[in-house]
Amino acid sequence: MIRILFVMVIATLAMAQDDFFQPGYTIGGYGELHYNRAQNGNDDATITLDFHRFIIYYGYNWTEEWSFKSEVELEHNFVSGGNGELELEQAFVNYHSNLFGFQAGVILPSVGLLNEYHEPPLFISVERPEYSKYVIPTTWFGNGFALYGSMSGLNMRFVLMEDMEGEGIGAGIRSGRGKGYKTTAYDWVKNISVNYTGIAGLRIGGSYTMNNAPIDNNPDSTVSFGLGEINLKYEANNIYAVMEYGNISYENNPSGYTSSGGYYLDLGYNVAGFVGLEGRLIPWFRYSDYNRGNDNADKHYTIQRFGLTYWPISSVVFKFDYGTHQTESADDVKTQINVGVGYNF
Amino acid sequence: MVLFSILTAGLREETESLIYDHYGDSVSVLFKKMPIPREIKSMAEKNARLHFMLNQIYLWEIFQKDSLVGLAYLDNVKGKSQPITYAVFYDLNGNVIDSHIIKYREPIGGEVANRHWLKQFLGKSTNSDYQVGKNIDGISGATISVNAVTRGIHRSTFVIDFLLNKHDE
Repeated sequence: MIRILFVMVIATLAMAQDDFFQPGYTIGGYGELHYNRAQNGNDDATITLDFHRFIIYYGYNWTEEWSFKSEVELEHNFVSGGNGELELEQAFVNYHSNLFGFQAGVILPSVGLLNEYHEPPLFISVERPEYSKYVIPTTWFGNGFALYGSMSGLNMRFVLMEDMEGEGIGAGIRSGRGKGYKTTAYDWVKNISVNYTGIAGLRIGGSYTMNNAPIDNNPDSTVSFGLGEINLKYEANNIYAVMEYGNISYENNPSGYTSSGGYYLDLGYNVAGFVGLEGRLIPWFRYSDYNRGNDNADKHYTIQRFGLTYWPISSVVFKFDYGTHQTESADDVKTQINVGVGYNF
Repeated sequence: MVLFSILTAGLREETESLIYDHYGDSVSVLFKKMPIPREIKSMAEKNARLHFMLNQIYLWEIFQKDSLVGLAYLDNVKGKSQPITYAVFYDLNGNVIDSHIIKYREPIGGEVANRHWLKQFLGKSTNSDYQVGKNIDGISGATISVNAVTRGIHRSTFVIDFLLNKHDE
């Protein structure tokens, strides 16, 4: 009996020495270089070469449950005279347990596929879809709190964040983002989301976000909006398919709009196996239609885009795409050729 | 010490509970903590393109009456910032017959614990193809975890293959 107890104690001590967690920091990042050629009708083309984004991730784990996470982003490689941006996109304390967690600091609301997960290898086009700019104001970040939980592939998150700036809302809500800079919290942005990832390769979800956004920091004069969206991504069996749809309704929009929204659809197929390439090689097609303000023909756009995207490894991506961008009221079609290189680690 | 014991005993209990779920209550298990065999360590790391985080692994020999019927392997891979603790069950030919994420410590990327995703490793062994995006489906937003767990399972097959061959000698 004594011998058994002795063995049990030794075994327990042996396991205790191997608690796998170790406090420490983590560094990561991502970035992307873009060549963009755009031409309106027969006008002269504009050609740019832009290191669009450079992001450094820094995190520290105090315990298994408590950690800090942050991301600093430099856009367009330089900041001067209103050009380029230096942003603290994330900086939060995180409590995480098996079933739920809590975040406080500079956080991202869960809205659309790309707002939280926007590393270049995760989306197929050189530039992020225009939907993810003018319908979902990606990257949308701000000061706030988040509570999340997951069970059996079902993930839920509730975010309370700084107000948007009502005076910036108009043809969409993008210019209403406070970006954590001296923001207000009179009404709070409320964002609730749910997604299901219980089937291999599939992610399907949706969210609703609302706020009475103060105009010029005045809580008695606000712009109200409600953003509802659904999203789906399937990436398995060599198939690549993405669909997002979103709609924003407004009250007291300074530009007079009562709604805006749209959708995009990406379809592709991994042909790397057919041509004997390592990694993934996906020819793809996108169709998108969105408006930035009611049925205003000046703000209604239709996009068709073809591309070829190659991931030699999952964290490095080379992209090429060609597309047309039609404004309903315009006579000319804009054509775009984009080439990009992206990475994350 | 008490807290550490509870945490780590929890990982062991979780793994053993999964072993009994898979094999039934009639089996008996023998738990071993062992150093990574030096004969296989660098070869496993090179082939799976992943270093071991620790110098030891955890192994369960699974017996039906007195006959060895399988092995269970527990190890860690590094996720974005924290270890992912995973277990792989093997038959006596070194083929994966089940796998589990025993503990995931990050707020994102936890989809690697999804049973449907882990089923892709069934039947895999040292010589199988483990290319993410080709033989193993990726998970959007969980790239680092997907790569880490895939390589970790691949790495484990070499250790198990070595131990089974040694057992037969």
